[in-house]
Amino acid sequence: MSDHDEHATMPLKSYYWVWGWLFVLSVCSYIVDISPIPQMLQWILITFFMIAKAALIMAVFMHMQWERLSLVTMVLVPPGALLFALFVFGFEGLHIETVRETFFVNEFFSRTEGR
Amino acid sequence: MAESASQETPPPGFTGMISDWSSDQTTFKGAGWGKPMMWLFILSDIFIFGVFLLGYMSARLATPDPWPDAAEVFALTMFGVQVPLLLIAIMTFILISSSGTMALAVKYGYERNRKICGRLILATATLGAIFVGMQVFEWTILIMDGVRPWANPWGASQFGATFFLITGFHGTHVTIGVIALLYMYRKVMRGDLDDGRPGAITGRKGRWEMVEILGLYWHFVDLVWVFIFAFFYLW
Repeated sequence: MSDHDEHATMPLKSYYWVWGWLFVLSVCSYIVDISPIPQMLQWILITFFMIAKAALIMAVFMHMQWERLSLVTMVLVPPGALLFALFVFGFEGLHIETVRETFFVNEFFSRTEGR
Repeated sequence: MAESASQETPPPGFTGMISDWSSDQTTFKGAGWGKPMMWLFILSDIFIFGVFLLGYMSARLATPDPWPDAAEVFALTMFGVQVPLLLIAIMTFILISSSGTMALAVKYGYERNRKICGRLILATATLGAIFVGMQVFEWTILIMDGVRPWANPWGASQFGATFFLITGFHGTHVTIGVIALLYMYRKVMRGDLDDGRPGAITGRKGRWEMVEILGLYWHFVDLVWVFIFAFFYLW
C-alpha cells in the first residue's frame, strides 16, 4: 500500500478541474449534436470530444498517468484489435447495404408497385 | 508481494517496460495484485462493449431502412417545448458527477480519511442509483412508445435490439457497481480497511487499495457511457 502514497499528492483543485472539463466537453458535444452544421463535421467533433473525455477519465481519474508503462500498454494496446475490426466490419456493412439496396429493396419495390 | 517488488526501483519509461515484461517474475511492479487484476477485467470488458458497439455499427450500416433519429426519439417535452436528448444529457452529467465523487473518495482513501471517504462513496452510490432509475424511466417511455427488440415505429428494426442490449448491459454494470459501492461504504465506515478485517465474501483482509480498485471499476462504467453517449445517442 505504501507504494501508492505518491498518488495522493495531486491537489484537490486538479480533481475539480478535470470534473469541470468533463462537463464542458459533454456540453460541447451536446451543442454540436443539436446545431445545424454539416453531418461530417458533427461526427468529427463528437468523436474528438469523446476521445478527449475518455483520455481525461483514464489518465487522471483512473490514475493511468502514474502507472508504469507495462500496465498502460497491457490495457491500451490490445483494444487496437477493435480498431482493425472497425474497418473490417465497416467495409463489410457498407457492402451488405449496397447488396441489399441493389438486389432486395428495389426488386421488392418494383414488384409491389407493379401489382 | 508488493514489498519485495519495490526493493529495487525499476527504470521508468520504455526501457522499464521492456525490463518489466522480460523480468521473468512480477510484471506489474509496485502495483500489488488487485489493481492489475481489475485492469485485466476492464480490458476484457472493453472487448465486450467494443464488440457490442461494433455489432451496432454493422447493423446500422447494413440496413437499407432509415435509422431512427436519436435526437427525436429521446426528446422530452418540458413546459411545452420539445428538448432533444434532455434525459440523456442529465444522465450523462449525473454519471460524470458520480465519477468525480469517486475520484475524490479514492483521494481521501489514500489520506486515510475514513469519514469523508465513506460519505463520498455513499454519494457515488446515490448518483449511480439515480442514473439507473432514470434509465428505467427512459426504457419505460420507449417501451410504451412501442419500441421492441424486433421493431419500432420510426425505422430500422435493429434499433431496438441494439438499444436494449447496449444500454441494458451498461445499466447492469452500473447496478452491480452501486451494490459494490454500498458494500464498500459499510466496510469503510466500520473501519474494516484500517483494521484489516477479513471480508465476508472472500475472507481477504481489508486494505485501502480496495477503494481504488472499486474506483477503477466505477470510472470504467463512466468511460463506457462516454462511448455509448457519443456513438448511440449523438451519431
